[in-house]
Amino acid sequence: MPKMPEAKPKRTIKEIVQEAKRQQKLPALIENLRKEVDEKRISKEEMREMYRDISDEKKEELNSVLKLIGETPTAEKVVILHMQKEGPVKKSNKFRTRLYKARTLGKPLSMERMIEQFEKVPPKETEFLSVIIDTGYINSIVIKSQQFKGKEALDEPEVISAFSRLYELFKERTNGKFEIVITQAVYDELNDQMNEKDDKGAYKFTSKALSELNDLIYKKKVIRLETGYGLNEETKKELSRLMRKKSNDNNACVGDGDTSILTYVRDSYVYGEYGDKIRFTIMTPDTDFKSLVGKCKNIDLVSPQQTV
Amino acid sequence: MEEPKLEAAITENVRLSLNGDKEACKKLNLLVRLPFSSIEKLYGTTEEDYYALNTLASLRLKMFNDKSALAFLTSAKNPLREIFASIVGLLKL
Repeated sequence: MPKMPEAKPKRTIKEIVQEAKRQQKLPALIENLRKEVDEKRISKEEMREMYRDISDEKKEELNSVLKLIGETPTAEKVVILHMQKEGPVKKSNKFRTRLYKARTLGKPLSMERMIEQFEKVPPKETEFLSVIIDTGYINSIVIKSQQFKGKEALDEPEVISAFSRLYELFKERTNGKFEIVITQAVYDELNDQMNEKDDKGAYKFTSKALSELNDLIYKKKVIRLETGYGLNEETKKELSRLMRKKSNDNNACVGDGDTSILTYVRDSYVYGEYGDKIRFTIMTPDTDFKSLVGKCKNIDLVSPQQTV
Repeated sequence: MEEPKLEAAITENVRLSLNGDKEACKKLNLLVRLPFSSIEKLYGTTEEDYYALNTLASLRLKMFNDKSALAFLTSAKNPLREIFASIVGLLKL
């Protein structure tokens, strides 16, 4: 069986095929290629990651190509065409990938231990600021826009303007050394609340707000979606136990969004490149965070009523 | 700098795959998920493009028994049908 030539990129397809043909080994060449191609499978998760990192303009362009060749445009097909032309899509955030991979390598630091350390050890000079958004913070922006402007508010890009202002503020304050993050669990919680109303009858989250949030994540790149931080039952149980201990409430239970935020905090602290020189700002109206990490010296809790 | 055309990029990926490039194999793994009838429409008409297209048709035929790939390989309009006849012949057996 002929072996595919190695490291000879200058050989043309014609040369390779004709040589195999002369040796009556063309079927073996194709079979060998099939095996090589079959081994290089790309998972659905990788495809999703790649799709997220393709710009909207590129997506539109590739959608038109797909329509031209009679294919219904889908995320998978867009990635297929994109990969042919652009090569491997670089993951937009090496920090995220490294954190997520590192977390899977060994037993992580327990939440209790992390909180103890944060409460005792005074923070070092901050080199990087990580701003993490909680579900309730976005809810408050959406609700506030309805209270102040009534129905017209639905036409205003409230989420965009709120975060654009925050982005500019942190950029100036940290000299660009910051990130604004939303975890997958918080993103999912928001989606689950679509058109749900609060006790005063205001919408907690709307499709308009979702489209603005997506715009901030995928188009304006103001907020980074941390896809590795979704549901984590084990950490949720651990945090709920800790919360019961701290608040003396036997029914205390920490939500999925809160769990994902504190898991991200821990991973950034333990595995991130800034180590103990990272400071966290959690944008939340949630009192659970106050019970859990309110005394931590390197975590600031900012409610929607406060100015940062 | 002008972006490379899609057909040229695909031909290059086939060439690199045949030269043992693992990254190019990954790209082909994706490309062969599209039906051959669609891949065919993306194609240029240089001789090297035709070799690439016949290679892809052979792959689709082997991997998915794609009928439009078979039709292309055996078509009178395919200038390389005799070269690739052994692929079709083998599968017919």
